[in-house]
Amino acid sequence: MHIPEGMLTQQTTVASWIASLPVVGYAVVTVRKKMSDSRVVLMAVLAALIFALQMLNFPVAGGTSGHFAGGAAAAIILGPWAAVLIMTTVLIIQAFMFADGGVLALGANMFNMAIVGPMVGWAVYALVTKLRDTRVGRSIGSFTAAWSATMAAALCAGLMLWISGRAPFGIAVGSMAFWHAIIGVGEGLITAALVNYILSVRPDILEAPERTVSTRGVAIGMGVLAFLAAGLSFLASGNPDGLEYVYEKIGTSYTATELVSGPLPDYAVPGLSNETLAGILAGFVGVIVTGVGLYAVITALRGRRLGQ
Amino acid sequence: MTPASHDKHGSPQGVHRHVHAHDAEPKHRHPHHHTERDAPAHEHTHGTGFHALTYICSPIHELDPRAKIASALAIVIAVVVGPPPRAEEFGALVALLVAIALLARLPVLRVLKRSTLVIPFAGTIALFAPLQGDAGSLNVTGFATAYAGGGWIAAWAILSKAWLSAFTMLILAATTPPPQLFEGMARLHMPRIIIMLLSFIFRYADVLRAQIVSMRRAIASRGYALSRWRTLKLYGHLAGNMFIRSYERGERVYASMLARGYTGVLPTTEHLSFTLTDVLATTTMLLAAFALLLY
Repeated sequence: MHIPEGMLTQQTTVASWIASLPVVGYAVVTVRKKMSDSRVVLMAVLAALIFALQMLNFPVAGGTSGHFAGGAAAAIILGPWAAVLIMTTVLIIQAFMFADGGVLALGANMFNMAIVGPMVGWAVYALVTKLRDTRVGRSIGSFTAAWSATMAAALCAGLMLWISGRAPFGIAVGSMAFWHAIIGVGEGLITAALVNYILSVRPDILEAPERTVSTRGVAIGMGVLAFLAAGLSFLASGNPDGLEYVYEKIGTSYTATELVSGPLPDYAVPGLSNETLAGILAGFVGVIVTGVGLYAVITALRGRRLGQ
Repeated sequence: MTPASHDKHGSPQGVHRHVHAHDAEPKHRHPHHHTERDAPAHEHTHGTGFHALTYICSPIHELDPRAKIASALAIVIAVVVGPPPRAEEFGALVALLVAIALLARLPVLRVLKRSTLVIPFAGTIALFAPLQGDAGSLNVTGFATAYAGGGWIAAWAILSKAWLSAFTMLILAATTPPPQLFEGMARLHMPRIIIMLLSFIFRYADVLRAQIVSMRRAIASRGYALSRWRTLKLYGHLAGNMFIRSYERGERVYASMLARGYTGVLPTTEHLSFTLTDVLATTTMLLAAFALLLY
């Protein structure tokens, strides 16, 4: 899901930096304010663990494999702001030391994987555990949180590629949604088992002081994010980007404006029906996969309770 | 591991760094420690991965990390902002990057091979670019005829920009020891807490990875042949176990840091100075980036 360099239009790139930087800045301030030196060192070691755990590959259908990302797990264990910092740092290392994901695209990758993912994961977990604060509730909460975090990040990445005019809506958003609906199940199961295990062995870790963030605060945060995202798409669909500008300048041989245009204007009807179909299909697959995943989690937990 | 040979200067005490070479390896320099025993001549953790390349001694490795970060960013910006690279531009830039890699005494093929990791994802997206002209419909003629001019240029732009940027960043990564890279970022006003997380990831990721590997081995040697769903659950328990272990390690690490006089500020042994050479190198690369943009 790491977007490489040169994929996004300049508007999308700039807009995603404008959206990400204040959130990361706020996370830096909050963590410094809330965490003692000892907690910061703990967070730093756990950041190294998240990075190391990303080597946990699991098979996904069709011979491909996904890997554990850990954004939701970090948010559940250390709270959303620490998770934002940890995932941001992991992305910086990947961009600067492994060329995994672009440096200019770091703003976009941070937005998807370090902000939207952990925030959605934390919000879903907080919501579910508020409804049902039991062992089962926490398991279901962490599964749903990790699945939603994966999906939300993937959908954002897909939307960015689509907004940048790099792929048709159905392909960009649909295929991202399809694959990450499946990858999310792996992420969700691992996260649920992880939280469940920590609850058995060291439940005190899950009561870390800095985890307490008001639900209202996160709701406001999500609202701001949604607003920024809306602004991002508005910005992005405006003027032609550099690439497009150059096409217009250097050639009449290819019809410039259609090439890398904004998302909406030129969709013909066949394309539209195609993309709608893909979107609906992705939605269906998502619902079915979530249902199956939830059923599996519930069955397993029921089995455990009966002492199997 | 073969015994190391290095230039003679008695047997200094404590951790220090000086230029030395192992069999069939370029000269390199990194912190290490001489021992009392005869062989090996000195003890050090010698990274064998990609980042072992950052120990190599070369003019490029000697540069201030800020100079290298600024140069790499300038090239990447020029590549990304500019038009789809024409053949001569592409060739010139690749030649420039390869020249830098050679000057840095890097194994160029190895760096090139690693840079191709970006191609699968970028290539997939690039393939969809020609379809854009066909209003997003997925038919074969969309690939072949409908958008045969500009579409393929867009695809080339996506793929070449992604690859050139990755190659540039990998040269930065291979010539800058991570502690220097982090100190450079700190001097460029990256928040201290992020620098701390970066340093800890660099310090502990491999330690924790080794623990994960040994846990996986333990699982395998106990004959688990589980269904996929059970495997995922097991991985979850493994991850949870690692969280608890790392949490406890973190507590010990903090206690040790306090014992060594930690006051809340992470000390560094990197003392950077931006010399005339750095100014010249940065200027050259900025000019190259401008030339690329304006050409």
